[in-house]
Parts: sequence; structure tokens; C-alpha cells
Amino acid sequence: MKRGLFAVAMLCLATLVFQNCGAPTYKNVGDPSLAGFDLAYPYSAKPQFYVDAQVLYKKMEGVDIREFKVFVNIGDPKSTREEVSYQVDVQDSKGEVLCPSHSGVILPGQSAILFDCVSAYIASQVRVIVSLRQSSNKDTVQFIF
Amino acid sequence: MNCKLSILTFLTLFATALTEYAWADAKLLTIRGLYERSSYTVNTTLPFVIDSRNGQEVKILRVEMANIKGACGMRIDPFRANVFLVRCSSAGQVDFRILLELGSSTFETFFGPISIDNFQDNLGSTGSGSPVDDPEIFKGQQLFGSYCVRCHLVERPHASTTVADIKSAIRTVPSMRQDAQLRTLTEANLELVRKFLGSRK
Repeated sequence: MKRGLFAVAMLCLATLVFQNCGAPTYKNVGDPSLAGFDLAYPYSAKPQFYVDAQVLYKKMEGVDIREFKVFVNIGDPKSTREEVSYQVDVQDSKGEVLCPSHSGVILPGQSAILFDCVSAYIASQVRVIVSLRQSSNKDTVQFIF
Repeated sequence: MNCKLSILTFLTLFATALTEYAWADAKLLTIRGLYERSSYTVNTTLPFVIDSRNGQEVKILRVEMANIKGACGMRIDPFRANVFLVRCSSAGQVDFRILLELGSSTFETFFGPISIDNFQDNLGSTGSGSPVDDPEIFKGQQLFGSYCVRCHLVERPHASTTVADIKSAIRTVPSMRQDAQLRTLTEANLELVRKFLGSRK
């Protein structure tokens, strides 16, 4: 009798302990607005590299000249740990050069490129074109601001 | 007989739970950001990759974030099942709760917190003109940098733009209407942005 009760108790305990096992379903905890939003996917095909670019500018006081600050990140999803050669071009929508090309090499463990330039050219749109090369892999990513 | 059956049921349940759904052992997985820590800044789309140490294929099923106050977006890479992308529009700490498939098993694991900093904090002066002394204008400048500058980089809204103008634009301009981040801006946030815009006269 006692053994029977013990077995039932264990079965109930097991049911309680593992009731959420199997196919788990998640709920947002608390306020749904805290759950974040779906990020628009920035690539149209499988990316060889993950690239992000930001451009900030400031208009210099008293003169019609803009100072650009370009911040680019390059991430290699492969675990080859090979360096990546890059070139960053900053242009307007018609391909006019706003800043001199910036090129170099990203070593394994690094990702960030930051450079400044000063331009007297006033553009309504800024394009950042990041060209990458790693062994035989090449990729070009364009950002429009 | 009943006892044996109960124990057998218990053991079956226990074994099923262990094989089908378990906490991911830290020794089993590596989660790493593909960008340097100093690049964890607002409005940077950060890729994170999850690998198994034993070479098994990892498939991310779901990622949830905490401590973000609605300011971060996330997406699992449709082309790389072991990569997820995160972008935050304001600074803060983010924790992740990740559900993933490893071989034939489902695991849950946690990652974080990671700190997202303001662009300015990491890179020095990137303001939009002369130094700002008024803390409200400075806050408005930061909000403008986080939410608006990606589209208003060169052509700034007019200095006399009102909060009503901004609200109207968020409601009616198609590209702004589709931007979920803009809807998180409060009336107080918009007032700070207006104050910053007004200071540029």
C-alpha cells in the first residue's frame, strides 16, 4: 500500500516537474512592448561578411564645409581567422566622391574602421560602398544614407 | 505491478526530458559577437554566431531579449541558422534567452548581458555643431542621432519643427510609418528632439 502511494506521488511529481517539457512555447515576460521588434534583414543573399556602416557629419561653423565621420564594422562568420582587405568609398548618389577612398586590412579579432574626412561638396544623399576581399572571396556592400 | 509501471513511467519521462529539452551546457556551445566590443553601439546591427564545440550543426529557433525597453530589434539570419542579428536604438544592457537545436535535441541557453553604448561615448565628438551645454538639448541631440539621423543625415528638419510636425510625419510619411523604432518615442522624447532642432537656428 505504502509503495503504491509512493509510486503515485512520484508520478504526480514527475508530471509536475516535466509538464513544460517536449515542445516548449515561449511567452513574452511582462509588458509585450519590452519584447523588441523584428529587425529588417539587411542582406538580399547569404552574406560572406557581416558589414555595418554609420555616417555622421557636422557642418563646420561659418563655412559651407562638412566634416564626415565614417564608422564601418566588418565581421567574418567563418572561423578561418584570415585577414580581410577592405576599401571604403564615400560618394553621393551620382558617384561623385565625397571623401578619399579608405583602405586597409582587418586582422582576426578586429572589426572596426573609423575615419574622418572634410568635404565642401553638399550632397542630398551619401553612399558608403564597402569592398572586401579575403583569399578568393570578394564582396561589396553598399549603404545609402 | 503498479509500482513497477509507475517507476517505468517516471524513468521514461525523465529520459525524454533529458534528451529532448535540456539546459545548454556552457561547455557545449560558444556564443560570440562578430564585431569588437567597442563597436556595440546604438544603431549598429550586431551579428552573433553560435557554434557547438563538438562540431554539431546549430540551428537557432528563437531569441528573446530582456532589459531593452523596446529599443532593440532582433532577427535570426535566414541564410545562416546559427547567426542572429541585434540592433538597439538606445544605450543599455541586453540579456538573451535562446532556444536552439543541436543535433536532434532542443536546448535553451542564456547569453549576456551585453552593454550597448551611445555612439558618442565610444568615438568622441560626433555632434552636429558646436558643443552643447543644455542637458535637454544634449539629450535631444542623442535622440536625434539614434532615431533620425540615419534618414536626416544631410537634410535636417527645419529648426522651427514642432512636436506636432514630428508626430504627423511619423503617422503619415511612409518610410517613417514603417519604422517601428519611431513609434517607441514618447511625447517627452519628441519634445527633446524639437528642442535640439530649435537650438540649431
